[in-house]
Amino acid sequence: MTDGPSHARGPVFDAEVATDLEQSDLSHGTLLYMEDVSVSFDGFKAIDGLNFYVNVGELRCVIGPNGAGKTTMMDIITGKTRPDKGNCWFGQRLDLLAMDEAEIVHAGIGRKFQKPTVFEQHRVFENLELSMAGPKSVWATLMARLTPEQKERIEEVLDIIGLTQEAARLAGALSHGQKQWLEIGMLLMQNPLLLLVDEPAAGMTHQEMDRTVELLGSLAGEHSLVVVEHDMDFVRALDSRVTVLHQGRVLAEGSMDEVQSDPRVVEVYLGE
Amino acid sequence: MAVFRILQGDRGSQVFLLALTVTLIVVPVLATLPADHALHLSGYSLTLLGKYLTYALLAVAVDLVWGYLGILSLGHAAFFALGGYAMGMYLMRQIGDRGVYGNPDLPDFMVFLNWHELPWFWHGFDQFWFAMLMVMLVPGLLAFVFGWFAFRSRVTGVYLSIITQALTYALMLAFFRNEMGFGGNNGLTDFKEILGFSLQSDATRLGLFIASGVALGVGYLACRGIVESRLGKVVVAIRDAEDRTRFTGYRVEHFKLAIFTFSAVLAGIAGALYVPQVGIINPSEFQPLNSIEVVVWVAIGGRATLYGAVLGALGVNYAKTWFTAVLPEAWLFALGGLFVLVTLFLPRGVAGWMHRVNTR
Repeated sequence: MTDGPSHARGPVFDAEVATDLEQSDLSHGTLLYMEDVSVSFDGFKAIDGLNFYVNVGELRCVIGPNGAGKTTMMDIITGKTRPDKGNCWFGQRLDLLAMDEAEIVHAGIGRKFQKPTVFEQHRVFENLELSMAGPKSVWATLMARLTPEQKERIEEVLDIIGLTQEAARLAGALSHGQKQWLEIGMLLMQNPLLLLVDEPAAGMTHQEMDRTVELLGSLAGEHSLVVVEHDMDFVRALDSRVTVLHQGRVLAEGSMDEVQSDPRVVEVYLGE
Repeated sequence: MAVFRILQGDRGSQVFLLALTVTLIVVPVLATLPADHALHLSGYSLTLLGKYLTYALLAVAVDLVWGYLGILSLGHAAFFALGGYAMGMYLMRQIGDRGVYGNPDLPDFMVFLNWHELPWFWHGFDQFWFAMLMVMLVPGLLAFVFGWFAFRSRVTGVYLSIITQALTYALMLAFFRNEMGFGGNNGLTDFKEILGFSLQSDATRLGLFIASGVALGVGYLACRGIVESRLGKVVVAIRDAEDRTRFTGYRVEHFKLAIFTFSAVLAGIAGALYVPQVGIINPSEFQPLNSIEVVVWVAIGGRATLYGAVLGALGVNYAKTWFTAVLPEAWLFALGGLFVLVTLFLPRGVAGWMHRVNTR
């Protein structure tokens, strides 16, 4: 897949998924359902009758021109934006539209922002510690002590994202690419079923991109991933099913080659 | 011990708490020296120092909310004043029939207003424990209700600051009204004694000074404990990346509410210790300028260090006392100039500057 310098790494991420699978009931093999979802801002239809499904363990790329509704779609899934109509289910049982942001995180959906967002005044290790799955009430955090198992888990994730050397540095001092990895590591600490990754390759060098491709590829299977990306080389390298969004709805879906040869896609996006 | 754990690696806090302990030992010794001794500390100086310590506690409360949580509260003097009023009500009830009108049940201002009965909210304040409960409960409850609405509707930044300013202004206007039953314009004053000890005696003043110092030390340690825990890390995370924190699974509103309420309670305790030492509480304590001044102390001392807040409160108030005695009209210019200079040249305050010099 990539010829870039490969990074030594232990076995593929294999942590237990904290969330109770039965709670979400994945028996149908589909993790995320978005059906007939619409949302408009001041009359502008950001999402317009969107249907979007993600399977368990799938890696999916979402592409589309600016304003196609990619980020809004993530806002809806994570509870930041409420749609005007439509359904949004996580597994068979969890209605995402009835949950707030924190509940959605605890149900197993992690999100990486477009602009890498880490806790800059905290050390890399602390960033992961704060992101760890577990009780997150005021009282629980006041009383929290790091257990040896938790420490081990953090070190494991540090290894996966290749930041073991940087564990004691302030996150604000990391390079742009390292911040992107740290943020992915923070998602992993939550043991999510679904990772929403918004533009992971933005501002990365080619080497960093290769490593990111490898990282995301290794996470698929254990987790489902939805990756929004502009960089076509990056999307091709991920070698996954691709969904093309345009004007808030799905224009085409398939492998990168299929999508690229679709005349409608060429017209609105790739041909430009 | 827990105390050592929460102070680990924080040189500034260690130095401050050591200095506070030494002060609490040395000052009582100096104050009990004979009056003609060269090192004798007068009751006036003692009260002044005690007042500074309550200001320092208020500054620590503001630093917790502003420095760590990132909420610029321009209304913390309101919580300070409410704590002060609760204490003032207790002190008023202690006067008993020794007031000008000699009414055993009603404070003077109520007799003056031709009231014949104690308003319901004055009941219970003749009991010290009840008054102390209210010192914490009233500011805490106000902060909780205010924060509940403000944080739930996700009001942040400058808008929130303006609302806190409006809060303290509204309270000032309300307390100015005689009908409110808190002495109106004049507030509460002419206190006689606390827990049976005369407020005029040097021994009582010394007791209040020590109480202020202990309250500052305990309040400081509590804040330090919070800051040092994972809760403190979450609080800083909210300050630096609120959305990231929310999408990490923390209910940001709950954290803001908890810290804001705790801080208001600390401010209330500071106000309650302030009132018996200055002998009066009136609505001017609610004026918006007071809250802004606290923020200036914290900015000058250095945000998000806690000891910087103490340093700022003590330093600025010492300067204020000196200036208003020597050059009264120059004080506000000096304060403004100091604020501008610190913002320009010491963006992290005096504490930040000391830290930089130390680690160089």
